Amino acid sequence: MRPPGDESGAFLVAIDRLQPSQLYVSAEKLARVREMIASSGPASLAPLPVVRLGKDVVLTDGHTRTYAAWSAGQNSLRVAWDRDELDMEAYAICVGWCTGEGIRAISDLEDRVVSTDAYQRLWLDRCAAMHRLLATRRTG
Amino acid sequence: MRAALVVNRVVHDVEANLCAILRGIRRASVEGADLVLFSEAALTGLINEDRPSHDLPLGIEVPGPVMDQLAEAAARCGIWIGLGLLEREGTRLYDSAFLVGPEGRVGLHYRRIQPQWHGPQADPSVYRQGSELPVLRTPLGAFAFLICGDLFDASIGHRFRALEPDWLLYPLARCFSDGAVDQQRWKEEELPDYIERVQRSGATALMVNYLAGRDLMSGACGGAWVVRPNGQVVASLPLGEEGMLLVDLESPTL
Repeated sequence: MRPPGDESGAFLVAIDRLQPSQLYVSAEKLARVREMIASSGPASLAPLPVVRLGKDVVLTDGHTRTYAAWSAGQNSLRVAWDRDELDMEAYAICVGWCTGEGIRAISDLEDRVVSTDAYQRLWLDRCAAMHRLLATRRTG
Repeated sequence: MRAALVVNRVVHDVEANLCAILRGIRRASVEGADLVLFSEAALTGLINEDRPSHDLPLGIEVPGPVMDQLAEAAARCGIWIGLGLLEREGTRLYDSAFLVGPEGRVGLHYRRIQPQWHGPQADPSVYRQGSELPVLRTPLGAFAFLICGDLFDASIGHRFRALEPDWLLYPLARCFSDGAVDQQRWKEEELPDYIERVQRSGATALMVNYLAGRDLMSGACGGAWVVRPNGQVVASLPLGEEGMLLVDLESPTL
């Protein structure tokens, strides 16, 4: 069955149906995205990439844009199935981190908008450590 | 080190070019690459016209939304990302290259030193060159950038060699003046010059050119090469083809 979507494959989905795969949002990045949306308008945002993981529709990118849209009062967003080959094991780990900490929707990140330094330490460094572990395991 | 050299078709739509770069990063990661490298001016093409009103908007600001996405992708994929970008700093424009590490930090920031990425009459207060030649020492070896014409400047080449990097990351933007995509001509007339310069650099060169039609300035003919300091071309992707050149390279003993 063809997935839903317009000619570009994009379709509207309720924001609260999107499962994050990220634990934090950078306040500085958020400010830049808000500035971009203010100057270009929300319609300028490209559809956000999602994948299905079990029953969940998971954001693979664009958490900051999604958070900006949600916090501006939007309740739906254009998304598109991510057709790229992805490291689904890594995404499954990230989603596991999120669900393990009770993050089931973008609104659950409300108390997790952190400074650049904290974002680096709490999120980016954690991703990097996971990849080092995965690489070690995969190369035996 | 597994390196992925990605030749993208650059179009007028910057958002589409960014999506192609992000796709290339993901694909390289799935292929197990430690490093993915793109061309010079990978987001826009080298389409500056020496008119600040046209050219300054082509530059990305660092930090800024584009670098945010690249840093996020590097951390998400656990990969080093090297690419060339036109960079804007206030009212100044640079032909720059960045190496973003798997922790999502910019590890190398290089600004092209050789000035022929713009015309000789371009306003020197806007069209700027760098002067530094930074080297980043990593578990994969020591990396340094040169961009396109830098490689053919003897004094820059001399400085580069003295730094003794293991890897020369070399984004470029090249076309034939008649717009041809002529593999034979490239092999006979152009590539030997590049190989000779790589030999002088003393490093293994990872070279990527983008692909573009003549509607984007003079276009660009693509191609990717890995060249050893002894002049051996270890791997290459022919001109005119979009794609990814994956190559396993022995990292230096540290």
